[in-house]
Amino acid sequence: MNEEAVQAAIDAALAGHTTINLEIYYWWCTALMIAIHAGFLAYEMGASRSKNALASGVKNILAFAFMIPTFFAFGWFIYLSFYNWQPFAEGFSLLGSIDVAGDGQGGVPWSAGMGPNLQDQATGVFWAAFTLFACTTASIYSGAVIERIKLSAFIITAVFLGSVVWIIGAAWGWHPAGWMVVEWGYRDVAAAGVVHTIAGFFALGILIPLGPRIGKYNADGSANDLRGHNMPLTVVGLMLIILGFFGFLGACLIYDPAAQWVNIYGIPSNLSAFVFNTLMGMAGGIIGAYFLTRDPFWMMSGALGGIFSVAAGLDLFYPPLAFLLGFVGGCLIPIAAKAIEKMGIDDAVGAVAVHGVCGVWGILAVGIFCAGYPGVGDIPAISFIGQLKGAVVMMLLGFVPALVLGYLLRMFGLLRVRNEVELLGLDPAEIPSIGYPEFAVWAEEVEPARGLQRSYRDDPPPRRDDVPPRRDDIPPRRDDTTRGRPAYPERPQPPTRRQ
Amino acid sequence: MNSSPVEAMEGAAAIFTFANNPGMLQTIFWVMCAVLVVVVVSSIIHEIRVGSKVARRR
Repeated sequence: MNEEAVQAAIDAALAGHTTINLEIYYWWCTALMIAIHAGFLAYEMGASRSKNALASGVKNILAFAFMIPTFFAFGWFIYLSFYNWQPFAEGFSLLGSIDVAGDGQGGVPWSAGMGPNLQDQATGVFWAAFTLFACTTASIYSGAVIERIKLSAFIITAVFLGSVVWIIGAAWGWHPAGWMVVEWGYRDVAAAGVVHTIAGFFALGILIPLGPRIGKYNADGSANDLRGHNMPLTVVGLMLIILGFFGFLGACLIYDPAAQWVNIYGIPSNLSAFVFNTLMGMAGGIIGAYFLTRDPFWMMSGALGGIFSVAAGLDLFYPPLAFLLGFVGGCLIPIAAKAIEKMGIDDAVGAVAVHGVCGVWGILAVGIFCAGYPGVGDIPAISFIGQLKGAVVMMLLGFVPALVLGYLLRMFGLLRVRNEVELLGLDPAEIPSIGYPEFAVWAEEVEPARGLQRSYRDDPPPRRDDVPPRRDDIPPRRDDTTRGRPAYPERPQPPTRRQ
Repeated sequence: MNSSPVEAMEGAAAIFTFANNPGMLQTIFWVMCAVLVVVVVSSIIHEIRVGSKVARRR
């Protein structure tokens, strides 16, 4: 083997390692992102009252499960083909600018890349990472509507958010050829806008037609605090979400072991930049929320809000500036949550404040502190006006479709559970298992609920001999006597008519 | 039944079942979509039935 052949063999081996490393990187980012959903599961179950804990969990699990096949069906196709979709740009053309024949072909569910393919080691892992981003949007929205939304309505709205709405935003503003990027220089490196702002304002759009929980507001309009049943579970859930976000943020970089890492816009970046500002933003958010509230719920929400406050410029901020941005985000959360509550909107977990408001703050912060930072190719430099317009687009993209869909579902009576079900609790009404059987938190409701589930599922009623006998039901045995009398005292006989 | 198009590993690309049969792929895809829709509809029916039962009992 001559020298050139040896070199060619080495290059081929290195190329193979490069591709494999890329797969491994996104594989583990995706795995880590599942911690986000474990966290949201714990967070929302803890934030629910005990009569709704399991229903909140079922909702969260199903959001995850429905998002995966639907994102396979159309979400990935939308991302690849809608990047230049502006139906109102020049007259009205609903489908004219969708790139179906070009890049979109790679996302068609029956294309060669959308399945096991020995010559395509990228599509699967990128699809998986984006699918988990989609699941995250659904989980963000999920917490706001707990304890009164119908499960079916939640599935429909979550699929609409995760597999349609947010991914349109991602195609526009989180794609190197997205029209917001190319025309406005919109920059949102770690998805503050395309994930958090859209999901937060989508939640707001559903909360308006959904209405508050029974008991949230008094007749005079003052709000009651409907506390969840397990604050420690909620706080641990929030910490798990933060863990998962390290996978989320890592997957926002394009990993190429053989070259410079780049962000989603093709602009050089690296993980070191990400980790500086993720940690500093998180710390700022916790401390900001602690400063205003001293409440562990808001402190952990502040940790998330702090990360989202720096997410749009995660690879650009000086770390102490990221801390300050996170601090402001952490302070904004309780203020925004209170303002939303005063408006009569019952956001059970503060999702609009944490994700929506901090997402907008993060987008604007890039316009304020990073204006002029250059792009590559056709991408203009960052500008405040570009970021401001981008924030407005993200808010409207989340809010308006949700509001329309929410009112449509409400019109057909499909959005909210009946008042009787809400008062009884979603668990006893709809869930065939009990969250806390040892604790009689709603003992008087358990028996009717068991009957309800039994009758719905057409299970046969329990046979008499399945029930442990009561003392009175045990007949005395003839030979079981004490001093010639039966073991059990004879019960007094009811008087007869003759007497 | 070997439903994958691959008969030899040399130069193999898409190896999944029915990859060379677009009609079958689309059929399977639409079956998956139908399953999702049926589950959502069954959930709607479940909620309506449960809701009316709770309302009757209270």
